[in-house]
Amino acid sequence: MNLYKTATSGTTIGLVVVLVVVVIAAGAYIALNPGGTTTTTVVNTTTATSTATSTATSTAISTATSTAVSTATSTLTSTFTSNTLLPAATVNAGGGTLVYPLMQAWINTYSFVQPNIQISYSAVGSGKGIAGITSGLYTIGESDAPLSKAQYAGLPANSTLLTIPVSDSGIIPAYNLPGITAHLNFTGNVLAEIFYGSITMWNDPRIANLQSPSVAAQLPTHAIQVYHRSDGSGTMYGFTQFLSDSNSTWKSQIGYSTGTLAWPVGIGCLHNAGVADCIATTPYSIGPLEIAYEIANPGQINYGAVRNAFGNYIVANLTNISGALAAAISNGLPSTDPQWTSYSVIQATFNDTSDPYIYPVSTFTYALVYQDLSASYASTSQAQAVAALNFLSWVVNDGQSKSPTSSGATLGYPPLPLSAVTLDNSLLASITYNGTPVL
Amino acid sequence: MTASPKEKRRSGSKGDLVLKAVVGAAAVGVIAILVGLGVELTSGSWLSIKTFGLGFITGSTWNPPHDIFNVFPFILGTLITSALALLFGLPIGLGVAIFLSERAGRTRGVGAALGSLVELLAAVPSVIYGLWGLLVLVPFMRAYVEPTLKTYLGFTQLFNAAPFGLDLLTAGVVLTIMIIPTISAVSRDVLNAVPNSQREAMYSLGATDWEVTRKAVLPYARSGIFGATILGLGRAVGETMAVTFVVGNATAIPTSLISPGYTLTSLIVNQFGTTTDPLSDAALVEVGLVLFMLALVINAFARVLVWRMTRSTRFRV
Repeated sequence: MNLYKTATSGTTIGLVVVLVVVVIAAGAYIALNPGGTTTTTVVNTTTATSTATSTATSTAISTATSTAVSTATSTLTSTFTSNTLLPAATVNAGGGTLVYPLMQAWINTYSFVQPNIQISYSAVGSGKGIAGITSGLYTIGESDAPLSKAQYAGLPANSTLLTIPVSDSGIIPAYNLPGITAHLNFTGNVLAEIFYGSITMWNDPRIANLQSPSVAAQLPTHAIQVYHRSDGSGTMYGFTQFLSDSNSTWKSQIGYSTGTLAWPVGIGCLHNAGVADCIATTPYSIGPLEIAYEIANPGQINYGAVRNAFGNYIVANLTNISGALAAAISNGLPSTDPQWTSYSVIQATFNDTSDPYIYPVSTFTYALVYQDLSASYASTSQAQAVAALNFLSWVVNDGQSKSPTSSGATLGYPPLPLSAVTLDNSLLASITYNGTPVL
Repeated sequence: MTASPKEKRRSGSKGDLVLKAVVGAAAVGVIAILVGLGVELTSGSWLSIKTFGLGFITGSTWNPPHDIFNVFPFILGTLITSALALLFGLPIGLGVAIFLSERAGRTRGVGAALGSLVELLAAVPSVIYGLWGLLVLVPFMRAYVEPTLKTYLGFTQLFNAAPFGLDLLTAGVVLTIMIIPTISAVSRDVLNAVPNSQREAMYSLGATDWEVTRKAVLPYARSGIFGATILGLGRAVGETMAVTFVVGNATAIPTSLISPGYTLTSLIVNQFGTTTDPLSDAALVEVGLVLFMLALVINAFARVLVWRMTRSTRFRV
């Protein structure tokens, strides 16, 4: 055996040992942190004395995802002393990725309100959020869509799961049309025909007829390149539900889902940012985008106005998205269907003409909590129940206005309409532990 | 124990026993993992297997809202992108290996530097290839390569589609770059292992460099090169992130090489976490099962080929 070989095998053994140690350490870490892929845990064991708070604030600002938190925390520090501190508890939560950036900001800010409470949110996807609440893994599940009838059927016997809207989102038809800066006008039906592949050219009369004569004349004689999300998402759920309601062919052939869809034409890009990038780099393309992108990158991408039930073409903004959701609540929901089974916000606003300025492609994201948290299927201790509800109550009230700047607006999530907050508060008040209300 | 001369080493040493136990457990563990994977994938996808039967593999509709889950387009996408990668990657990878082993110095100078660079390529995380593919390669393919192909070769169905860059061909090119280091690093080791007597015998007969490489070195090393190719193919079939970024993710059956496609691995990464009911969950696990079987079939096929080759020739490495 020569020297060179001995040296090599020594190095190899060393490498293997290091690798094994790393794998074991990673395995142990994963085993100790149930939940999954992207987990944010805010650990904060400081008591709420003013000195401790100021150090905690500075670390939070340095690690926080957005600078927006800093303004929020400065107002919060002043209100700390009046806060009753809850006992220590760790709450497991998980679900959709759409709400993840906002949830992260909420958890950061909330850790100053209730320093003893840890909220651990795993961004595993809506489907896994629902699975997690069904199995008792999470105390708070999160989903971009209400549960379907089949999903309700899978819940534990005699359980009542509450569907609590926690944030809003709007979806815009973004496009890349060289030379056109005006907001193009779209109807749900025309969008459905574009995404179905029956309208293939930008200067198709069905598009041109919706525009002002000067814009119509600018429409290029060029094929439309369609983009959509390749991964399943709440954004596509809302958008395809809007297409389904607008166009019967779309409804019967394609339908809507938080999972992947059988898009008849077009190319799938990964995540919201991926779709934005695909559109930005491809002239004559169109694709649905979550409005958070436009809010975070104003003026980077052109997008169209969508006609609402009243007949107005609406350019989406935070106000008219909130307005649409307020209209959805006022249209008798969810009293007709307390569990929101297959409930469609899009449908509820689709024919609404009470407010002429609402944006029609708007949806909620939801927190899912069992009404009886002491039941065995909920796998929740009393301390966890108190902590979870205190957090949710903060989210739907103070969280809407105090967390990341005012209302999460800089993150691109419109605040909940007042009627939704009222609804949420009554839902949260109905949650019990051993028969007594938790809040 | 009366030992044969061969077993006359020191027996009863603790180190030997520990070694035996550890390596034995590791070997059994590998088999257990493989069997466990198969069982878990099959039981997890049972609902889907029962519902769709063979139609799961032969059907071409993937429509979750309507509860139809067939994966033929995805199998096709995986096979096409991997075949493209092999088509481009094998000549380049083998070329690199021949240069490093036969032309450049093996331990110093250009050869050594280039050799470690090639190995470095293999260590780059695949998501970086994906990002590079999306941000650099896709616009390049869209602006230059694909319009040219369409203009001159558009009359064949292979290049008859609107060139947008996010398609099977681009995915194939990204995969090519990813498998070149695998193929060339392993092939280089195999070529280095060819005894110099092979080359010297050939040179002594007055053969040129090319003749030596072609007639004395490559045939001797061919089963090893074949193994390297299968390793590369394995990486191409299993690659996920880089492909998902650039393949286009369209669920329809692709009509040409510059149409968007979809691979089995991309389907899993795109769909995971958003499945909404037991059937779609099971269908997604069955996609994993199909991928698992595909890998097994490719491997078995390769084994048979290597076995036939080594049987029919005296040369092997």
